[in-house]
Amino acid sequence: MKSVCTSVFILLITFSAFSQSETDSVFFRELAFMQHLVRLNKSGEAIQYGKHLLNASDISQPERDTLNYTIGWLYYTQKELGNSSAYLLQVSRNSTAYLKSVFFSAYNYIYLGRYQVADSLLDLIYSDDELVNSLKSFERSGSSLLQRDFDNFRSQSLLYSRQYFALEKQADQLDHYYQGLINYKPKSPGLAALMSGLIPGSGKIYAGKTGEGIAAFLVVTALSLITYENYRKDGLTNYKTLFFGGITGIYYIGNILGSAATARVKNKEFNYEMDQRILFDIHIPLRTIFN
Amino acid sequence: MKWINGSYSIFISLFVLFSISANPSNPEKKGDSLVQLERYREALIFYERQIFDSREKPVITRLLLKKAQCLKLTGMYAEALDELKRASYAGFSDSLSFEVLYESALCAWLSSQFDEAAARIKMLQHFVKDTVMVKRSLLLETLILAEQLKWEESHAKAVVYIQSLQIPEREQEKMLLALEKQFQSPPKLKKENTGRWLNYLVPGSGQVYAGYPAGGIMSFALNATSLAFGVLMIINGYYLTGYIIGTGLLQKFYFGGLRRTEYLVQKTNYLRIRKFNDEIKEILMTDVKIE
Repeated sequence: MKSVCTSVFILLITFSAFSQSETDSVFFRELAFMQHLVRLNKSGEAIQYGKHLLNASDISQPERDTLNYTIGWLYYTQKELGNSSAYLLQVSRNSTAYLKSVFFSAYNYIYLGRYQVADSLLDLIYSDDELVNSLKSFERSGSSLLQRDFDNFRSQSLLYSRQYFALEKQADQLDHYYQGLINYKPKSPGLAALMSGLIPGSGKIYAGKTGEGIAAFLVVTALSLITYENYRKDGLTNYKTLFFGGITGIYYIGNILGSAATARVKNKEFNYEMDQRILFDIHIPLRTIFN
Repeated sequence: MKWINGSYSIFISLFVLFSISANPSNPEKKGDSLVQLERYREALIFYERQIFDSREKPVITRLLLKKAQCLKLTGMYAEALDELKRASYAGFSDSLSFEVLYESALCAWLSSQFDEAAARIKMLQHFVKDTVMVKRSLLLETLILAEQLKWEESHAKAVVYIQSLQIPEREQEKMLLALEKQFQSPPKLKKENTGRWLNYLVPGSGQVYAGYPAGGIMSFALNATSLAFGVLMIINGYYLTGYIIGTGLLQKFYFGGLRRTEYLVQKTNYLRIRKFNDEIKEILMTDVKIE
């Protein structure tokens, strides 16, 4: 719902900009129809119709730009970022939507983890406007942080001005994430495995999964007690002792391997969460400035 | 000369603009041709384009019917119903109101939204004054009532429906006889609560009640074996083994059996209702095909 509202809002902006030059035109009507489809929650159909309009041979370059921008934006709201960039990048340099299109394409590529492409797109932007240049550096600093290139992050951070309202808060956030990343001590899979070897489940607790750790401790302990009981009554070579001992061994080793895996997962979770936060924060100034 | 050229240009521009605005390359015809090519998804967009340009409610309703037809042909009954919900039906000719409400009820029935289907039939009976037309909805109403498990009402409607058919009297009597026989023994549905309580008291008995004796006996045997294993182990002095393994297995089989009973009762009821209603359908549609 949120994405639909956003789409409608952006389309309205496009229309208002466009209508200044070609009020009541056929093309305006076509764009209004695309907006109508978005309002009906049919962004996919709006995209398809936009592509159909693009195929017409008699449309002017500004119309083509508007359509490429609108389709790109609709793809963006649908989270189809590759397709979004493919259309946004077709917006010509003369269009008023060019700057926004390039910035959002770059953001799309950052999101997709294609940092080199994003960097080269940001290189395309030439401007005397300090805000635009600051935004460029800000996006680059975010990209560096996502790549865990802390040196580049620090150097890019010095290149943008924090006096702008659109950047101020998010710049602080990036600094905060940077501190979090450099201070984060990754969970050691080896240590987690060793701890679970000594006290079953403790490796998982160390890795941050307390519930799983307690459950593992209870299962291994219960199975060990059963094995011990059978060993005490029937001796080591009895089939029952061997059977329960085997199951206990499997659980014990499985728990050690599981603890190492949990530590790895925990590290991945931390990095994923940080990445999502960074992506969110480098996205906000784009929306603030261009909307 | 200049003046004539100027007026001529203005006239041509206005004519082109007006003709395109009023009917930009006739989207409805384009939609129709796409339907011919079985490209229903694309046809939907062009019908919507025509709707967007139309101001007359009957025209919009007719186009929405076309959209619903496309969606029906692609098996998207719920979406077809959504389109028909946008259509007006009050104040139109009986045939158009009938078509909208009948198609809505049919799509609701096809998408298993039986209460919605019944409501649409009620609306049809209210808005359509032509009794001959209303009688055309009797078959669908009978089937909807049967799906709502209102078998007495369904029976009554089915009788009226058969009597309204223009078929030889002998055929009619044959159908009525078959119908009478069918409704004499409506499906006996199992109660989920009874099944659950039976299973609480004697594990497996709920599954026998649901009509699955083999599964019930198996469930009982598994529960009894787990209990016997636990008790036997404790009697022989294997307290931990008996308690942990016996209780663990018993708990798994006991609660698992409960869940399976609920599922089996639902399955049995579904199959019985399905069989009964399909037989009704078979009788009523001996020589009639539903649209």
